[in-house]
Amino acid sequence: MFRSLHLTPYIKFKRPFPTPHHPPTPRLFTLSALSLANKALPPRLKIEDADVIISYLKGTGPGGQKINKTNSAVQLIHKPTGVVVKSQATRSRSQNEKIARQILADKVEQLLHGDQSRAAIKADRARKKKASKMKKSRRKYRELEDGNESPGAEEHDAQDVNDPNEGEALGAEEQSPHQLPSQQHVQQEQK
Amino acid sequence: MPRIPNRTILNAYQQDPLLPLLFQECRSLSLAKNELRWLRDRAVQVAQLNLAKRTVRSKYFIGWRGLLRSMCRARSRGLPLQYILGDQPFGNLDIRCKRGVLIPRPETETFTFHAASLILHDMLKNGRSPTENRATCLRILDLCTGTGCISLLLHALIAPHVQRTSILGVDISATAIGLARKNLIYNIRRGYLSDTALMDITFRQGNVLDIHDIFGSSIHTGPPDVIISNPPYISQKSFRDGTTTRSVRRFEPRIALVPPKGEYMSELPLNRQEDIFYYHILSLSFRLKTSLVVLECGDRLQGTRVAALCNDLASEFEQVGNLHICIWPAADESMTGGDLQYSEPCVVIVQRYG
Repeated sequence: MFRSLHLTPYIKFKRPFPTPHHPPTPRLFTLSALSLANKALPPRLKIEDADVIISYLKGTGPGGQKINKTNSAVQLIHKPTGVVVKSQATRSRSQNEKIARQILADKVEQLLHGDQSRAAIKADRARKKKASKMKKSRRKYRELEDGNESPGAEEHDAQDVNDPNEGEALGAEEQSPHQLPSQQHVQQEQK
Repeated sequence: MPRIPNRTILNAYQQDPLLPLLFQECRSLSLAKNELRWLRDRAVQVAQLNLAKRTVRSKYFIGWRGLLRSMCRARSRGLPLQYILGDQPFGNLDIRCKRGVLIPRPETETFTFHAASLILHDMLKNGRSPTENRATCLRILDLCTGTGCISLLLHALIAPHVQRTSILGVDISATAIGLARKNLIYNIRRGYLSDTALMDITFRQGNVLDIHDIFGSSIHTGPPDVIISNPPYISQKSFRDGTTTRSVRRFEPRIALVPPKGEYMSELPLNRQEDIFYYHILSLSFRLKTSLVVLECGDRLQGTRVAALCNDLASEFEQVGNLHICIWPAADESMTGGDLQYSEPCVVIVQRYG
């Protein structure tokens, strides 16, 4: 029984889709991530239709009614730069074309502008975000480790500190219990 | 069909145990991987729906893995992917597919886009429309409509630019007409088509080869400005000799692929059975004085035969005006795969001026 309970978080994690019984908990974002995302990216490069050769992978032989092709790959060639992009992510040809156009715009821009291009800036931001995340998590674990160590260390230290002091303390205490009752007796006697 | 080497199959198995099943139909690793991804997405989606309906407790419930496995087995027997998934994207639309109705092909999609641009630019912008009153209401006749894909996509592309459109889709099969009507409502509900489509598009059962049947139906809505068609065009020979793939031969309706034999052939001046639909459609277009005819053909040879047939027919009818017949996409010598290009489907476009 305990084992099954113990495994439940893993089973939940392996499910490919969120079940209605276990809605995902909302994630908390820190302010620094927000400020980074707020800065607007440079606009996407507009590619002229005249510069692009679209091919639906021709020269593949008979088609039409004779063959039921499920592959609707789209290939785009950018004439001025010679960049070639292919997409076969979805079954829809128009969707594939849209995706291919986006990739082509990013690639051409990177070729033209280098580090100042949208894709490069995006990648740069992602890298920075990841780095800061790693840093934060490292800091957190370090603090956790420190936190775990320090209470233990305090106890340990306290014992350690007590041990050498015990001699003195005992010496001091040895006097006081003897002193106190005597003082009390003195006080009582004075009363 | 070349044999797939064992090494390739083993390699695929190591990537996913279901890939070798898909290999039987796909014949290439990249396509098999793509199909597996699409099937898995759908299986997960269906399982999720079942879960939402709380049929989990019933004993007929299958998880997404089981569902995916049975889908892959069906695919390995040659069942078309579109029949398994139940739909096929066509332009911006989503067309439902069902056994007994031909699946829309990507080539038809390209041709429909081209036809729409022809209608919008040549006919309407340049004012080449033969009579003035026709420009206000554009009538389109889609023969052998099947799933209704051409009619629906044409409406989606043209309707925003024209005052009124009226599209009539005709098919001989009652199953196809039922599915086409379902597709119309489905796409409106999804928001891919405007609400006016419900009024503009009608589907009607009719036989294209029976001239009286089809003539009567077109008179009902007025003579069409455009006739577009993707008729059955596969010859008996190429249906049998392996040019038509196993999956198409076994699972798609023969009536939508191969023109029928028999009484239609005897009195016609044709020597090829696969061209009879073109004869009937072209003679109908001359009778109705249609200004644009777009016909899909199986390969470039058939395209040239249809263009010649059109010239022959034009001499029989009087007052045909100026005809411009062309084959699209135009043959391009510089393109790669010169011979293969001739076996690809094409469209014959007949434009009529004045």
